[in-house]
Amino acid sequence: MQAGWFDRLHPLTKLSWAITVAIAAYITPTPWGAWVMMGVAIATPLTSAQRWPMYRTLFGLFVPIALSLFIIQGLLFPTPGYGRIMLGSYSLELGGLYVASISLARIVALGSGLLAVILTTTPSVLAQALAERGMPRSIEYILLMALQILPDMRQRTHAILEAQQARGLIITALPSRIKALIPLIGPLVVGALIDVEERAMALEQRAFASTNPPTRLQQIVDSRAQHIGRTLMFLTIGGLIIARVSGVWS
Amino acid sequence: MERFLNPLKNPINIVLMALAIAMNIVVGQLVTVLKLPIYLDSIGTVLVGALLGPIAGGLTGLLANVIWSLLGNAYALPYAVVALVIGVMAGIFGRNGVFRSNSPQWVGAAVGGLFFVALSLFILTFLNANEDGSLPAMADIINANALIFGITGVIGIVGGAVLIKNGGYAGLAGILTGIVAAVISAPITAYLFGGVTGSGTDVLVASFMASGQNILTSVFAQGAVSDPFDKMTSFMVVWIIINLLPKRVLERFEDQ
Repeated sequence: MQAGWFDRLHPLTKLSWAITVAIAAYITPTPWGAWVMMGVAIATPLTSAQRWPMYRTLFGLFVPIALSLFIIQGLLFPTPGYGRIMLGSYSLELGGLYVASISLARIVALGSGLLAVILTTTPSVLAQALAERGMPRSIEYILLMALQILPDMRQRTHAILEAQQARGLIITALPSRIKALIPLIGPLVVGALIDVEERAMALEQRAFASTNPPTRLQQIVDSRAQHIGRTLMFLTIGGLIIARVSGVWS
Repeated sequence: MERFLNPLKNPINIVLMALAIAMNIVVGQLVTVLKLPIYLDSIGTVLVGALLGPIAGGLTGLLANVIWSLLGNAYALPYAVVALVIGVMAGIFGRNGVFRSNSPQWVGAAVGGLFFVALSLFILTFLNANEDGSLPAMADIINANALIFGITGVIGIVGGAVLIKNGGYAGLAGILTGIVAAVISAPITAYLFGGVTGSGTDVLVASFMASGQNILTSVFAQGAVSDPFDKMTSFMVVWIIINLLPKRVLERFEDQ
């Protein structure tokens, strides 16, 4: 599927957009703010090549949350003056459902925005974009190294689990599963710590300590319009926060 | 000493922090496979804090949640501050020798007993909440349920002596860290997520709300039930591992 305009944005523009939408959803004092921001968060990546994986993930994430909100706010959050609907022997608080809908809209706005950034931007490109704007290179190394190590560590954990079970480790009843923790985690941690020196030497050989700016294999395209857009988004958030805190908009 | 103050300049620290972040995720998933009623998703953070100090520990916790977000769990990001505090506290305890010293066995027994009694008191207080939502006096709860406290106290003491043994200091440090984590995460869950996370712990929150408590109190109560036990386990596991490590491995992370 062809990349849409959202996919082609600079990573920091997408991140700024996600942060702006999330903060606006929580800061605006009226419920309409939360519902509108939810709509913006869901609709903006509509032309993205990753829209269907994103919407599927959103659905999987939000249905359990919506159900929990329905129970906790709708059934257990009495709101006098808002009325209620009787469902058999249970009473559904309309005020609680109203509060639940605002909470859900805010959660969806936060989650959709971040999910859109995550699915349309590879971690290495995002880390590079942040490093180019001043994030320490060591943090970039940590982030990328952790992501690279993860599949290897998962494989190693699986191998340790099978090896220990072959040596008689039982993981059926709860006490045996608790006892299995150290035989499983111990080799994983010790193996990782032994690897540290080797990986650190590899890092030093790749000029980790160099103070010269690195030459990047991939150039991230930015534009003046996006730069202005990011500035406007942060000014908007700053303005909203000031308006809310000062009581001008309450 | 400089290594504790400038953790990002040393490549060994960088690699350990990256490994610890991956460890958090992998061990968290392992615990799910083992179907244990805990998370253990801060093992790496606690390990880095114990070995490299509070700055490295806090940074590891923070970046671990960033990585979780990058892997698709968008809701991990707001809890990054909780993970940062866990790492900082592990580092402070680590610098004070909590992870490398053995406590007398009676300390382990006392920690176990104290934990179980406190947990029982906590749960019973909420279950016996008054109709208007106010909580009964602690003395009334203890008097009315003396037998329950006696039994849980004995179970806790025996469990502490057998399971915690000489890791009493680490266990106590974990409980304290868990309480702090519950205090910090409660407002995040209550105000950002309406008191829910979409997981099984929502049932516990609902139970506390059904006893008449507001969302913030209910979320804190849920966290106070699960977090101290989870962090105590994490600290204990790290204590056991550090005491099992060969000296030549530990020396890499010590002052030179």
